[in-house]
Parts: sequence; structure tokens; C-alpha cells
Amino acid sequence: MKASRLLANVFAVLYFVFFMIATLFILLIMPFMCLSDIQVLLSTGFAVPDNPNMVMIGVIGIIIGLSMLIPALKIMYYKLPWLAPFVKIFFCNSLIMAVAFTILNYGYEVQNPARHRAFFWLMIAQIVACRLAMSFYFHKRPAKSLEETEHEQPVFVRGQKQEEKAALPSF
Amino acid sequence: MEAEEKPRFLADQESRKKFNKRLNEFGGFALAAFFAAMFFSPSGSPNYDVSDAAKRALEDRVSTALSAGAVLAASDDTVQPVDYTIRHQSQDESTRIWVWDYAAEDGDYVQVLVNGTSLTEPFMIKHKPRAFTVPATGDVQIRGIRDGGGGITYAVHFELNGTTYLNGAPPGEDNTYTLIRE
Repeated sequence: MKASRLLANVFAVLYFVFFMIATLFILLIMPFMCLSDIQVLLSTGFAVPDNPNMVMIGVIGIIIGLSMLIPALKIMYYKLPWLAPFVKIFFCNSLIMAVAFTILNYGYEVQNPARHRAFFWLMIAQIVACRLAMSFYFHKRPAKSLEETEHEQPVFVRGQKQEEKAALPSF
Repeated sequence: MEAEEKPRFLADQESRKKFNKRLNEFGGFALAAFFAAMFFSPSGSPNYDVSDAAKRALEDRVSTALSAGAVLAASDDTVQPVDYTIRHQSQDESTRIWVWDYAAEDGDYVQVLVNGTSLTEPFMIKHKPRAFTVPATGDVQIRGIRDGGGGITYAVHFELNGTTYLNGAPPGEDNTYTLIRE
């Protein structure tokens, strides 16, 4: 093994141990944390001054972003087939819930029942819209491991020629 | 044999490329989320005013040198509620005031009233000042609504006399600023 490749592997392992494990744990619990924060917000009626969820999303975003963009770190996603789908789906989940909390929190900065109701429904609309967008994105770009990508069939869009569909081998 | 392996190798390369492309796309998305989150998150540390005027203001609780939005302290300290009378010669019917949290942004809520009537809904005070238009004569009250921790402390800047008042209002109690035209 070349020294540079060995170094890259060590870097990837260290990155996984020191950054990714904690990130994965946070990704797992963050949607529930956001739901809990929303519940507290609705029950107390008062916003919180700092929004820890968006800060958390920022930190997780840069850790995940670097892991997917730096070639030496991508090895994690090749070696652990479950990692890419897990990170993608849970990051989207966490992001949607963090934005939802941010919207509601902003609405509760002023004590006005009409404003509270408006921002509550705005939050619901945002969750539904973002979940639909997420579904569309993963329909177009399925969150799959490398092995699954190898066996992937092309996704057809409406209007595509029927002959192309027919030319596909059937499994 | 070789003829069978070659297409498989090419297929592997193709799917690896596709997998890589998707990682890059999502990586870019995650980085964009990072920048957006940093943009919308509250700034970690505000620019504290540590000038002599700011120090004097913290002692005197009144300053003509501070501008609206000056942040003076990292934490709330106990401030006794004080009422003020503001005498002025302005002939304007109305004037502007700015209300903000000059210490820790800890979730304090206040409400602005004019002659006992609500001018605003209760709102969270932040470092960024909120501006209101009030009559140039009469009573302007600032009522403490909710203590986010360490007592409700706020600053109010009056356009009429260019003065900033650092005050405290326990929950449910008012600070009254009486505006008198001379």
C-alpha cells in the first residue's frame, strides 16, 4: 500500500472516530430533540433566545459536507455501505425539523395568539413541503450504497420514450 | 472470459462515478446548509461596548453618549426599577424610542404601553433594538413580562433627548417615562 493511501485511510478512520460517530448519534436523536423543543415552546408560549438546533445543523453540515467532498474521507462511504443512506436521510430529517423549530420560535418571539397560530401553520406547511421535496429528491437520486447503485435501474421520467423502457433487461 | 469481465469493470466504474457524484452533490448541499445555519444563527459574541462612556453608563444607568443597540454586558445584573421624567422642547407630536437588551440575550420579554394602553404585544428583547413611535407627551411605560434569567434588564433610547436609560422591570411591574413638553 502506498504511503499516501495509508495516510488517507488513517485520516478517514480518525475523522470517523472523532467526528462522524458523534455526528451519527446526534443525527439519530436530533429530530426527537426538535420535537421536544417544539412541544416545550407550545406549552410555555415563550421563545428561546438562542436556537441551538440551527447551530447543531451548521456543525453537522460542515462535518458531513467535508466527509462527502474530500476524496480521502469518502472511503468511509465505500467501506460502510449503510453510512451514505443513513447520513443523507437523517440529515434531511434533522434539517427539516430544525427549520420547523426556527420558524415556530420566531413566531413566539412576540406574544400574539394570531401570530402564534400563523407561525404554527407555517411550520406545518414547511414540514409537509420539505418532506415532499425530500421524497422527490430521493426518488430522483436514491439514497443507496455503492453496491446498490451498481444494481440500480435508471429512473424514468414522464414523457420518456417507451422504446427506452422496453429496451431495459427485465430482472 | 476477458470479453465478459470488461463490461462488468466498466459497469463498476460507471456506478462508482455515479455514487461519487451523488456524494459530491449531497456534500455540497450539507455545506450550503452549514453556511445558511451560520447566517441565521445568532452571532456567538456581540460587539461589546467597552468604552469609558459605556462604563459610566453602567454605573449611572443613564447616558447621552450611547447609541441605540449598544451592548454593554455579558450577563444581567440586578437593576432597581427607576421611573424618569423627560423634559423637552420638541414641538413634534410623536417621537421614536428604541428598546433592546443591553446585557445577555436571555429571553426577557417586555411590553411597551402609552398612558396605560398597550402599544405593542409583549416581545422578546434582543441586542438588535426595536423601534416604536410614541406621543411626545404623556407616559411611556415599559412593563416586564417574563424573566429569562437574572432579572429583566433592558435599555431604552429616546430620540427626544438623545438619552439612553438602562433599567430593570420585574415581571408584571412597569417603569414609567413621563414626557413633558416645556
